[in-house]
Amino acid sequence: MKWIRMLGLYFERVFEYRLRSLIWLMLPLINNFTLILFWNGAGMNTPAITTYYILMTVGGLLTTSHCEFEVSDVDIKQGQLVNYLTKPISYYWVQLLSEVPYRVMQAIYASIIIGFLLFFFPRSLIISLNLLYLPLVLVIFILGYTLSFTFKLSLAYLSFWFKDIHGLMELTTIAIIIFSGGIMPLPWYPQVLQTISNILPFAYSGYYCTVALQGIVPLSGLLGIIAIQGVWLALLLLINRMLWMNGIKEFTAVGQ
Amino acid sequence: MNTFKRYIRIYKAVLKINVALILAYRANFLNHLFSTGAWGVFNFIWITLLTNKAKQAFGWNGNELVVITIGYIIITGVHYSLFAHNFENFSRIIDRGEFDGMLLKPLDTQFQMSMMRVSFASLIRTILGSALLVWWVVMHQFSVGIFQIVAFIALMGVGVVLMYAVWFLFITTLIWYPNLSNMIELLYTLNGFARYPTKMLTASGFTPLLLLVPLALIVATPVSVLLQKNTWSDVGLLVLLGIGLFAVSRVFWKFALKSYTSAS
Repeated sequence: MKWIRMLGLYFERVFEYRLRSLIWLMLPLINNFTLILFWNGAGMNTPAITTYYILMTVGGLLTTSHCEFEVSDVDIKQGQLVNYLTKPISYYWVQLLSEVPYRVMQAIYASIIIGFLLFFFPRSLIISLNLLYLPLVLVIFILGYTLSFTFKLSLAYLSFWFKDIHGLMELTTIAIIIFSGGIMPLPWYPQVLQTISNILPFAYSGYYCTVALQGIVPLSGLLGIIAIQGVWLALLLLINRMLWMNGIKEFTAVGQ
Repeated sequence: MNTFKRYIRIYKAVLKINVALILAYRANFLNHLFSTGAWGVFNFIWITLLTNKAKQAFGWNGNELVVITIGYIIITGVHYSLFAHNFENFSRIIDRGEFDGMLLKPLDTQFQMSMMRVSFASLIRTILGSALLVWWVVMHQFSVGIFQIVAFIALMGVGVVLMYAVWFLFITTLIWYPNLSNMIELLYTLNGFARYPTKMLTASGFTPLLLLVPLALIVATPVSVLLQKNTWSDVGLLVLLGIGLFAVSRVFWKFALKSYTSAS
């Protein structure tokens, strides 16, 4: 019951600031829209490319976590973490839950975008997803989001040891954009970048979620993506747990 | 003239305070230097990857497109150093009524809101971009004369004014919607249009995009002069928009101030 109550409160907060949420939606939308325009000008735009960037926007909205700034700046640096430490709830789950309403809000916006595009530009979107594979794609999206969340949370935990990790966060954001296929589809990258992208976890919460939804990955490919996501998630959960157990020993909060 | 001299004197004091801040928070400065430099490098990687695949776009070849992005790195370095970081606190200042204190001071409020914080770390982008520009122009043997260089620098100056005006017009709306703290993120994103040729917007056939043409002119115009791509109409438009939108931003700010209700 307590989890449902908390979820309700988080939903309230998100729906109170709808306009701000709309701006967050516009950021990836604008970035990907400029890329569609660019490929158009380069004479290389095809419905497949347009679809890729639109689904990248949607996928990014649904699977990219942004928990790191609040955890690092508010909870750890400003000491708000004490509020959670004294309660019989897991900090990991509280944070994961607090992001769910954002994802729901973004999913609503994303559905509107896709609906609008399908209605007005039916030829610009090509989604050939076999509906039988939909549960697998759903699993890929859930794992993709959990992967992104666990990574960002682990990154934020570094604030237990370092005064300011903004530089590291910015660097990570850059790495995520490049290696998750944020610039263009991974097969268009030079071979060395493709290899690195396939090794790092970022593509498994970005590029592979997008192509899975696009319907261009066969069944064996979908299962392969889920397997790699599982391995990365297990590894990141382990790291996350270690960072938390050791980091919490470094945490101090004072008051009168 | 006396007022101008007074503001120059005040701005010198602002610069000194900001230098003192660097010395007081050295780690913060280094952190910012590192991250802002990384974004500069990222922009270069971005366009290199795109032009690796697309050999030309909108009448610009791959190497010329890279020059636009380098110009973008230079100009954002200047803009972020002088103005952008001031706008980051705008929402909080309005929302919490901290603006009251500024209204009481015998200083222009637009000046206070736009120029009190100087981010010296962001200048790394300008330095990095300038070095990249020289290297790229020499390596690809672009024919560049002294006139082109002078015109390029002058037009980049106009570009900074135009970028400031566009940002300030957007940010002024926070007087009415102070909760939109992420407006600044939207501006950073919209700025990205300056990385591409102007034609990308004008040829899109999507009318609302024409509103963003000022942003697309900011870098592409000086670069087209540098590379002698002869777009004098764009030069005229850039200068006109630079002066015009700066004046409009000033009038709009004065108008918006009437709606400021403090934190009550």
